[in-house]
Amino acid sequence: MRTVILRSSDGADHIVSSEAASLSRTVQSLLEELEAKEGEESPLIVPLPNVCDCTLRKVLQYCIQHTEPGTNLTGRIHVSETRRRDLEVWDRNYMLVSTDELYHLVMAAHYLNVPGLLELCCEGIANLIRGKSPQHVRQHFGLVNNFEKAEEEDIRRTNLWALVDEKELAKK
Amino acid sequence: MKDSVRDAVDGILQEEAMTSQAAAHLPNEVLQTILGLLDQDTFILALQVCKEWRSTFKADDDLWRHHALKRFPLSRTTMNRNGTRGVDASWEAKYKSLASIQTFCYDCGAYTSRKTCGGWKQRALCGRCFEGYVESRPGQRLITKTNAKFVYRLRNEDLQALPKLVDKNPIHYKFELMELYRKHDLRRAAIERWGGIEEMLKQLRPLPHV
Repeated sequence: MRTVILRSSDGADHIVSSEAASLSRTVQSLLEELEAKEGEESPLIVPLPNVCDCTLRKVLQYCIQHTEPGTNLTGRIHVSETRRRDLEVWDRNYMLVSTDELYHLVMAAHYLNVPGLLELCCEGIANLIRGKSPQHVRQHFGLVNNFEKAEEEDIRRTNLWALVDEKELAKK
Repeated sequence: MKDSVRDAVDGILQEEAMTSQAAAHLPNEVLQTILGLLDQDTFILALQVCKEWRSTFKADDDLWRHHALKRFPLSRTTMNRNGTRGVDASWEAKYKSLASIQTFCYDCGAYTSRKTCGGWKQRALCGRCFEGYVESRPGQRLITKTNAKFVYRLRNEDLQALPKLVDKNPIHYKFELMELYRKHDLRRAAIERWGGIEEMLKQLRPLPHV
């Protein structure tokens, strides 16, 4: 198994197995290019100018965890039941990050194209939105209410059809 | 999986908010995935957050389709036939038209297309619950006028101010209209009438039918 050096935006190197690195589709295609150009022997250095050091470390944690023996790269179908449960628990702990970190993580996952991680992060953000009022969501995610007054009123009125008392019912 | 992640993320909820420019710059595909993962309540609220999010919905009919099929799983076929004028209608329109027909039963929470005819708000009751009021079950949160007066020992004057749901009489459609009251309203009225919780509890009588 070959090792690859991933270089983050602040110049720090991370040495990982090529297997873990290929979990990112972006890195995978870069690796293939590099291999074709440089040959088998030379060290493979992949610069990743869009990812900062601490985020990259976090992403690699995920990649390494998900490529450990027993995990099938192509899909999780062949993974044993216990292993999958372990991974789930691991994922859950992995997602215990601040909102800011989560944001950087989702951007990195998007840039590096790691499907599993991206899914995990999106789920995380969706859960952050859940149960918040629009005002609260804006506050939390640093968004600005850029609707015009009339427009906002219009939206609220036309959305009335959807706001049956599901919330009330859900509490039961 | 979903539940486990939800548990995990609950912990984060209290933490600090994203830096100011952050979430505004989420790539469109990512935003779409996120909005697709929302449940139906939150998804309606997400429409009201900001222009960017709203335009994501506007641009992506598949997102509406996803939410429509999630919320109305059985209407996959009827949706095309008579959901909204013609097959070509956008999923947004289909979703809205279905949402306006189909509502939840106020008492048990099941999907229903039944509408009760009036009350403090337009409430829907499913057929099973509606029939059920003839013989009150303890789990119901609505109770008929006759039973309300019996159980809580209230007079007509006490009931007048309370919100109620009016519908046809399920025993016979020509009988007097059925009026349903919420139990917690009644409890409050009874406490007022008897002057205190202790006294109210002493006055309570069990339901006649059960």
